[in-house]
Amino acid sequence: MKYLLVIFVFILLFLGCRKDKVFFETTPYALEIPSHFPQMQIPTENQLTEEGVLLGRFLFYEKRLSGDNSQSCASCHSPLAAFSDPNQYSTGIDGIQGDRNSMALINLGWQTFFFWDGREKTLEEQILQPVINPIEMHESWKNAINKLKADEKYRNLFFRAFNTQDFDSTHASKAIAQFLRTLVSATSKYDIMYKSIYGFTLTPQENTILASVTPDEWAGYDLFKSLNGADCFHCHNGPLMQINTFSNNGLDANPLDFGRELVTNNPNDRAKFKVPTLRNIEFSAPYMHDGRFATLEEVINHYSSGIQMSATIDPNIEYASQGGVQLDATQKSLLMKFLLTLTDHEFINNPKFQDPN
Amino acid sequence: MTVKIKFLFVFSLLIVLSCKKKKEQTPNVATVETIRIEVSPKFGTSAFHLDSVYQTPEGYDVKFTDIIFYVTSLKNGNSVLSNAALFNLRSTGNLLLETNANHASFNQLQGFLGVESTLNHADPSAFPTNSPLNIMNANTMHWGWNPGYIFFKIEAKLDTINDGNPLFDHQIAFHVGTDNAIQSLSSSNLTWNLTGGKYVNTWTLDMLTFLNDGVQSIDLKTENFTHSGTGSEVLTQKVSDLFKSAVQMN
Repeated sequence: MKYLLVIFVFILLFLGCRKDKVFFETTPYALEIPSHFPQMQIPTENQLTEEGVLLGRFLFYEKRLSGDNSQSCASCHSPLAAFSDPNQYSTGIDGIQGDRNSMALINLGWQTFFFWDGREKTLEEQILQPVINPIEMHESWKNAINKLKADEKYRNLFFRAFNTQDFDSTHASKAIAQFLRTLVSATSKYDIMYKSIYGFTLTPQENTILASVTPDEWAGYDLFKSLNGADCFHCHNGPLMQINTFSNNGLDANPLDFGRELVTNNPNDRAKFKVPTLRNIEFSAPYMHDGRFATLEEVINHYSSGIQMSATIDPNIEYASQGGVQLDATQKSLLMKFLLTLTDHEFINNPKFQDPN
Repeated sequence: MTVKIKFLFVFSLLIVLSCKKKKEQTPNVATVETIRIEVSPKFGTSAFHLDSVYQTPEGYDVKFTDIIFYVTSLKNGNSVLSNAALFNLRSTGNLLLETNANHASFNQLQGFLGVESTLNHADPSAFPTNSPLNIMNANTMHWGWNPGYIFFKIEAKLDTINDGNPLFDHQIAFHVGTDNAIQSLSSSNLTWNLTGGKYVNTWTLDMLTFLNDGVQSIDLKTENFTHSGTGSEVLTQKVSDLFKSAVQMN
């Protein structure tokens, strides 16, 4: 009995002396979903936290993720270019160019597939690719993570975000995904027009903006969504100004880039590419998957009279067989004025999205 | 010693009692039925599959590539079965809807082929995330506030020259919507079959009837495109009427 008592005392002493494990409580990130937007479907295993978003922001601008420490995600997705690349093709660390234009990173939390050909289904999976791509950042995730582990700042940031010192690429991609989901653009002039059409109650400030919408901008919007006008709205509508699908928009009669077909091996997907958002299109030049159009005027001319027929042309392009919707100079001008209402200066200049260093 | 033994006995008893798993009480839950409506596509007397070749009444080869449609306000009197359901043959197969309900309450059904006006012009972002009318689920089936939703979409490719060369170079696209194109549906004697624990009602969609229902017909060589806009009202109405003829509640 005495021995039992001694053992019991030792157990108590052992438990009493055990060192408390340091544990950081993460803070849920209050992401404000705009009133006219659908709910964002965030993966349960990667809910947004203040710590995760902050880490993701640092990582987005972190050049040590590349092989020679010269490029970050932001190198090809600049905030000033609506988080895209103003060059037709991005150039990787070895001086090699890709063959598709960098996509604008806007409202990614509502996307259901990623890249022009939709080869990744989640943001977390997409983020893993550019680091290891030999013509982009050309670095192994193992090396990249080791560089981050050598930096006390990152050891602390990862620990606060994920409660681990043994972090890896999955933690990094989760954090960047959290940051990217905060890149919400919903404060353009178009948003006010959209909300007024659907009967949302506008704030006094929004009413002031609504009053500033010019007749030409409204006329451009009418053209934009008119079947017998510019006929743009089949693929670009709603608060996101896009639909989640792939389309062959008549760029080439004999396309060289097979687009979605390269993923599905289905000839019916030939030359189909992800429909991009038109938000902030003023800043996201050049345009199309291969950046072939340097200006919005060239884009409008394409849909007006430059459509090329092919077997997989999108049936939404009603006047494809005539080369396009045949807009006159006045209509083109009105359409341009509407497209500029999609500019969201608050988004472009949001300090929370800029380089934290 | 005796006191110690008694103490140990009581202590052990307490531990055993505290560890005993509580008996779970069986909740008194009413049995919930799962009912399911499927749409069985056919081409006359033949089975129907997307991307397969069929012959139109005019003798052309046709391959249908997409059949998508909305059904809304499905109810029997005041009993609502579903506010909205979206059929998409390519992405969800034969399923129109599956929900929990008592099949005996729905031996009759009324509803709309298309999106009824009150829903058609509502904010598409405001519908619940699991609603087929939510803009994330509607996706390509939503145009905008004024025209609203695309009620049904039929896309196909046509080969008009019977030379053995399967060119299929004619695009067919019927995108029908706007309030005028809504069609009513009703059946007064629905059949529910208990299959795999679910009560299943199967509608039919006859794409041959869609091309010719005995009253009117579409010649796909010349009548091949509508987005329901100005200038295509007649074809839109004809396509809408024929599609209603093709859909049969059973």
